[in-house]
Amino acid sequence: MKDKPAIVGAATAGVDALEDPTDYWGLAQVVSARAVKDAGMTFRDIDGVVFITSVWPPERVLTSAAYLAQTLGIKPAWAKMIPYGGTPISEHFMWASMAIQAGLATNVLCVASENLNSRLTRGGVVEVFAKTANNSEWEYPFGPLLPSNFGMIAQRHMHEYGTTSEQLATIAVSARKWAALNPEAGMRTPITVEDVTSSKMISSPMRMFDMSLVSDGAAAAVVTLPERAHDGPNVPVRVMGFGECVDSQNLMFNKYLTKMPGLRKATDQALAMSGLARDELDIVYPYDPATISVVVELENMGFCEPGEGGEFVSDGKIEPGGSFPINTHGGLLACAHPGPSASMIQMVEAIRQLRGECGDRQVPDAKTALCLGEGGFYAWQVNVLGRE
Amino acid sequence: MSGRKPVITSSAAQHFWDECAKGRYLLQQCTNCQTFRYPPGPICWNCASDGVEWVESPGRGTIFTFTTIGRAPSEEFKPYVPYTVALVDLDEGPRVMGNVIDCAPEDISIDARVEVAFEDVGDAVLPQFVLSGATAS
Repeated sequence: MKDKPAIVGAATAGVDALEDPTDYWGLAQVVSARAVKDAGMTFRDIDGVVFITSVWPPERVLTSAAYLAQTLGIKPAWAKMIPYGGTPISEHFMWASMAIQAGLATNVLCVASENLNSRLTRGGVVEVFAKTANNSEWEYPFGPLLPSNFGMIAQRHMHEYGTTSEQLATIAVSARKWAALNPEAGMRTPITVEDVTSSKMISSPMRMFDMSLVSDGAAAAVVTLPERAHDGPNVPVRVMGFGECVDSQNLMFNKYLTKMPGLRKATDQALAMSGLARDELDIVYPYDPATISVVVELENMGFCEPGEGGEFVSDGKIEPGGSFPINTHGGLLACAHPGPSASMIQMVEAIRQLRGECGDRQVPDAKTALCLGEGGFYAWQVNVLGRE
Repeated sequence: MSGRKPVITSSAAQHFWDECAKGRYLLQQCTNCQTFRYPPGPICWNCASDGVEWVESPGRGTIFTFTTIGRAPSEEFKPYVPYTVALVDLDEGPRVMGNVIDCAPEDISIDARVEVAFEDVGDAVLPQFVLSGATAS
């Protein structure tokens, strides 16, 4: 573990804190300052920045890691941009680790920010994603929603394996239970399976409560050299391993929908690099824009057999106090889905869990976590984090 | 982007959509390995050959999966709700997206046989699907 880059600072902003700014750059700047302060550093200590593009113009055009570095007075900087969409959104720690290992930077600030809800509203987001996330030439004319992709996956999973809407609903119910323990979560009211299965049909069989929130929110973290892990005030969390693989960008070009050889490969790569086995992971963070995502991801990451995901998630093991805790902040389903910052919020939650800072939702003595990020439909990235 | 027009990005795509407007469903076939491809493009995904010819397809296939939409993504789709989006495996091989029209959503199922039917939506003629045996509008 001594040779692994260390995450020594972490922060969120605007996830549910009303006093935070709601403009795009304001959020990015505030969360950056918090993460650097949490690391016991100042911007002068930072010599690298990783940043992710925004969803929508003008920020989508103007966002750059160079601009953020300039805004924060970080110079000279190694500045790396991650595009949102098509590439997994959780690449920050991979790029930071590779830059550190290549000698390009020593203290890398990783930032993700978006104010989807303030800027576009839920209805606006639905329209924007229908016109941009789907292929504008071969999909858009037929009117799929972004949730239609999950509807088509779920329809197929139900057909092949007999998975039920009630099983999927237990994932949304569990997410709310975790969210109820997280003061930052956007949806903390408990719901029942029946609430989910009677909510508005969006794109069959996906109903409103099968789908993620639309949120504002930013998150950031500082990654440093392995030998500096203990220089700051926090328990260091190591970037143990990462893996990345693409199955497809649009589902019409995906052969199976329910089987993802690329996700299995990315998971195996990350675990091999970390030296950990699946049963040595204390918490797993699937990427959960929809309930069905959790099922197909757990199956294809190898935590249960193909087709068993529906049963696996519905016996209480993924809930608070269960034997297989997932998405302890409430996930995209109940904490926040601000587009490009969803994964960094998830990873900051993992860091807080490994530091033991999570209060009522703390997983006892959590030492290791696996985080999954997705881009487009089925571009995967897996991070394994751990502490001594 | 407004209406239901595709955003056409290549001359091959232009040809495909122009022929749709004339009621012809064309697929590209590789002249080297005979693999069909969709969307159209300059290179065969199977053998990397640039040899290609356009072949008129009867447009028959099988529903791989589908979803029925209860909440329109934008104004232009509101008149159609509820409507079904399907991924159809054509008999020639390619998987394509289309709406399954002229039937009740509850009559649609995975593995159902379908065939192409052209639908004029005002600003575009779309290659849609009807359940086999059903009558195209």
